[in-house]
Amino acid sequence: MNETGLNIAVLVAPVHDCRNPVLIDPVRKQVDPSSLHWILNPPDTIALEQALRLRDRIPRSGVRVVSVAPPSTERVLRECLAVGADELARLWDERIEEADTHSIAALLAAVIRSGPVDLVLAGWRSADMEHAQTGSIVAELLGFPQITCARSVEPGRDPAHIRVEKRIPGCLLAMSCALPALVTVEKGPPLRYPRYSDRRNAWRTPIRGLDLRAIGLTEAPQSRLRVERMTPPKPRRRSAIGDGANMPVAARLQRIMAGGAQAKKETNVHRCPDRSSTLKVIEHILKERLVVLPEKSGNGR
Amino acid sequence: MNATREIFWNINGHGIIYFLFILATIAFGYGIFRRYYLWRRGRSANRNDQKWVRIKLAVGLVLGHERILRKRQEGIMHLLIFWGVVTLFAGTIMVALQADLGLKVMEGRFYLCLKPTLDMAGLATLVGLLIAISRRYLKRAEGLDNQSTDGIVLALLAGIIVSGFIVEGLRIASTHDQWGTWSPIGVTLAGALGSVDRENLVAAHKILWWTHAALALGFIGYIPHSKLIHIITAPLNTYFRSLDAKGAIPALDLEDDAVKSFGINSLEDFTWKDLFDADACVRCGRCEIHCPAHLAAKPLSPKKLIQDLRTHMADEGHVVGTIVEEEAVWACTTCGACMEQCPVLVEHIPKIVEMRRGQVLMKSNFPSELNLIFRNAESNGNPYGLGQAKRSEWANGLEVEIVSEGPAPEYLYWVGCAGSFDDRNRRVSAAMAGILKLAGIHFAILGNRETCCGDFARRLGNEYLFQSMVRENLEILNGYGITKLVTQCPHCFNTLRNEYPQYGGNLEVIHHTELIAQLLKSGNLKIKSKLGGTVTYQDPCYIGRHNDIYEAPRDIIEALGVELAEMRGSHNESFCCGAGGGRMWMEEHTGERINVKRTEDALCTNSQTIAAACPYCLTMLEDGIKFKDMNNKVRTVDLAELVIEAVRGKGDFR
Amino acid sequence: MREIWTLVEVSGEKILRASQEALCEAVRQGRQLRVRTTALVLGSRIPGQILERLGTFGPDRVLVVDNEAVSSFSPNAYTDALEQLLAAHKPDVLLMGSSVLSREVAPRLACRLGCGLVTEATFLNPQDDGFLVTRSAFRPHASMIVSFQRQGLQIITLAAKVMDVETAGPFSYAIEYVTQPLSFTSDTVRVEDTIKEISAHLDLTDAEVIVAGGRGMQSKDHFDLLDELAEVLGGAVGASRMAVDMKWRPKECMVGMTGKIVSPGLYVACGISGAIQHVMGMQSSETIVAINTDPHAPIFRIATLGIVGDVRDVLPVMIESFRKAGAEAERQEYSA
Repeated sequence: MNETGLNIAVLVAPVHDCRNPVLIDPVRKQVDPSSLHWILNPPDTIALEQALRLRDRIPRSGVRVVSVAPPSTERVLRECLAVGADELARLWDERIEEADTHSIAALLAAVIRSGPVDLVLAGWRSADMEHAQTGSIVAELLGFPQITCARSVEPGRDPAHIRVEKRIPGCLLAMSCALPALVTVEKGPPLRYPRYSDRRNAWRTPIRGLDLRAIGLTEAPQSRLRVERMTPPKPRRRSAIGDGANMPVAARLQRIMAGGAQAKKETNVHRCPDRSSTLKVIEHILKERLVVLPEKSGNGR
Repeated sequence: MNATREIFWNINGHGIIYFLFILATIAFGYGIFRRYYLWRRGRSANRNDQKWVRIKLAVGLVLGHERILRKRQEGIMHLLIFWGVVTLFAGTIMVALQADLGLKVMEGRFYLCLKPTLDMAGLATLVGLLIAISRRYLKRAEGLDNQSTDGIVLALLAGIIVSGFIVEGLRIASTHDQWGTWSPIGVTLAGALGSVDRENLVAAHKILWWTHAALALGFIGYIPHSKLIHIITAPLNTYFRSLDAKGAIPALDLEDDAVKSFGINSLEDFTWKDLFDADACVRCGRCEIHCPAHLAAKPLSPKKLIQDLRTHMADEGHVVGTIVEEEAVWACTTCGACMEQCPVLVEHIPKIVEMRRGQVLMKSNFPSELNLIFRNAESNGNPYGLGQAKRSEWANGLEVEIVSEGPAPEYLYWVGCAGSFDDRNRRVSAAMAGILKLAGIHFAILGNRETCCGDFARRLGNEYLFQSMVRENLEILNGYGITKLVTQCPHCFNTLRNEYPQYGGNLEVIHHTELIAQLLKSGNLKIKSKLGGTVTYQDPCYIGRHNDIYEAPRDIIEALGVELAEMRGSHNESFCCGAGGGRMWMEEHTGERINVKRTEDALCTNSQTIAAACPYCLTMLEDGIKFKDMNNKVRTVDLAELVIEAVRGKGDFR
Repeated sequence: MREIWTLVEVSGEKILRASQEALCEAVRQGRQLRVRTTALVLGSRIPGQILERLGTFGPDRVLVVDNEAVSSFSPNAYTDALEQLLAAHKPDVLLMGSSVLSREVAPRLACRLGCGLVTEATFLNPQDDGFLVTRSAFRPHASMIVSFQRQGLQIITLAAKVMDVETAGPFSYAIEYVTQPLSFTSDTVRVEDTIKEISAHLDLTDAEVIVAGGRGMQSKDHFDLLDELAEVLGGAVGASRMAVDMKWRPKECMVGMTGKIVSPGLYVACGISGAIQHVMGMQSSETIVAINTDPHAPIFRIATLGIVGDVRDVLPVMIESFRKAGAEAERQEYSA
């Protein structure tokens, strides 16, 4: 594989930008798709940058971006081509709309198998759903060794290996792994910003659109999970302290009525002019485990 | 008897002068041609339309010295030399007309008028030269760097004038010219030479006559090889000036498939006018001494930038990183102080922005912190990267109409990113909404459909991002049929007003200070209680220098009953807060902080309040006040906040 | 449902906090549903007191795998071992705490065993044949409720810091050692070097806890308080731009738009007003505790908990309390 350089596949998913709210259809109890604000999954962009850097270092290497995503996200996916990916394969089929992570992973694995591959890179999780499963399952399905949550991926001691750094609490691990392999990436330098000329070319590069038939399937892999319903967030239960200590009830009520969420936030602000009031708040902090005190000496992972 | 004089008295073989003249002409012509050849390497640009407008504007600047005289001493200096030399040159032409064409010009009453005029012109030049010499070598004035060529030029001019006077004196003394008294200086010198015998006078005259002639012709030959070239280029440069709106950065066509290179990467990417600019620059240093980046010890000097361009005009290859330091390109705040000051209308900002365009569009090479900012703007339409859905949060509970929910408003209130997302500036937006309501103006906001106007993206060279924002905004604005906008952000104001027309926008944009001043004047907005106290006002670059709005804010301050204490450097000499040109989104690693320098100016006025009319200025000055640990004594506000206090009658703000 | 298993990760003499949370939830559910609960521990020569401590959380059984192959960080070996154990014992549910290890092992296991996996669960709602699981989605805008589509094993990992840990006892439990022979597949993943990190030198972007100071710290000297608090919390010290401008901290410490963008589990903002440029650099922190004298400071708008007070008064009390609480927590672990 060294004579032909490294064939890198990067798993990239368009995700909802959680800086923006989603609307939940109160009847269907599902997310209103029109409220989704697509961006490239941020951890995937870091994986892509690692792939591009590897390609720049190892001659005759190529980067193929693989994605299971609806056509409406193509605009977002083109960014991968603009920054320098050699190819973009996007798989979609109406029959996979309700797919869970496992079936998406199975589809990704099938697309990857359709071409030569030495290294698969992916973000460690999607920023919107936070399953953190896809990469690991793809590796299992491909029968590749895997390293998760890497922070750098570099050429190994010989062309048949890859060198990966990964952090676990308290220490940094320098790891190696034989190729072909899959690495999920947690942190690293941000994705390069495309040159305008490359961006312009990317608009004209065709995106390989695949459907189930193209990868030799007649139906979508069976899902193992089902989303029963989506609801507005269920906040973690949290007690209040010193209720009404600093404010008459009427005033508190008035404020809550007037300000909605803002007022709720404000009730989390406590005046601490003296030691005893400070202690009370700190007690609350500990009780609510806002602060988790470190376990002394190596708790391992 | 007809008043005249013998032209070549005492001079034999004056034919040599023609030979020397030809030599000088060759030196001059060759020098000009060489530069012309270099200018022609640049891209094309149309700077020859509206000829009469151009001529009219150029006349004021060249003959009237409009800009040069803004600085009194050096202005007078240049005025004296300029008119002195022009007059003397005209006198020389008269001589040539008589000697070579046989026209009897130097005769009679005209000759008698000419004589004292030329003497006075010589004297004026000499006085100008003395001022120049003292500024340059004795006072060592700010902004001047002394090179040998400066000395040569001054020496040449002084030599020509002094030798001319002496030649005249010698001639009068030796010929007992009866018309000599018409040359007051010549006759004075002749008087002083009265005791010298005639033979020596004649001999000295011959030598000095040739010296004078040689110096004068040398001067002509030296013109294109020194900064004297400005005699040619500076007037032309004022003619070739940009007639576009001052605040607008030239458009860039990104759609053209034939274009392979965007922005400035190599020297050939400059327009001929950019290169011409470099030869118009005389290194007077006015740009430099007003440049906030330079004064805060960043590696940018507008003067050096232009001069480096001139020095390397014949080079090949990259510009940024070789001719111009990379950091310098990113240090500019686009405040426009350099362009406002430049007496020969050199255009610094467009060059810097074009270089940034080259770096961003072609090389993707820029300060690393901008990667995030660009991507934020791409994904959420604002550089802060906050959710687009949060844009109209500031208006919660204020009953502000969203344009999609009601009838067409009189004014669209363009809030801007800072006014929408930054906590401090949200208070300004709230004040603005209050003012508009109290004045009974029917207004609405775009709400979450507003996108960053693109000012920062354009000035950082990311033209792609800018144009996509323009397209998005224009589509929405046109969709609602909006034509009138009011905004509190000078950057939005300038971009919407001066740059959106490049992409088909046809918007009437008004800055909130203008609108408020109008409302106060017309009585639609009534002040309940005057505020009192003193306030100092920071002229924002983008309504001040770039759009000439200086008086509206001051009218407001006056109407509020507040005493205005001007800072060192106000109106068109205002010193930038440091946030323009996308600097808001970059770190200042080198030198001093620009905002702190400006805050110091503001504190020097001993005002209790610093008023701004720009969200960036407000942020930067407030930071400066905190840095100076004065935040308990001095407050920073937007004018709108002062107005709402006075209009609501919340009493004295001190 | 007959049996709920919980994978418990141990290291040295410590039990992973997340595992404790998972085990306690398993026990709570097991009692309510009257199903057997098993705490599964993998390792080599696991100290007896750990097994006893596990017992105090209330499982019916502590199942121990004593094998060299799973003595160190090896997701592959863990996956192999668990695959064989689960296939042999067929429990209905496997719970895990959220950890570096479980994040890799759980999906691999689910893939191999052909079962469903829900990660980062925040609430378990028991059904006839397993759980209906709540987890967050599009954080912080929604929650989702997920059901398993297949009969048989359900694997669930629990989000950290959601479940309570109760160590009341005594309970009766059995300690069993797995006698089943385990085989391990070969793996080319090797750890070639382990570099210990010192929290004080930790890069800000890696720190799980950041204690940051701003203009309100008043002087450089007061940053000693932040160093102390960071040490107690095992975190790193950050600074606002103003503090860097004042030369109280080097510019490497700067958090914000033009500095470092961080998202630690806990961000303690001390004397930071919360200008947008700073907020942009830390708003994605999970928990934000803010201390500021100005009750209107914008930082309070994003803070999970705000304290209106002078950092010079609040911080010493905080350091003292946390230190005391930390010491107590440790004693408990040993005495329990």
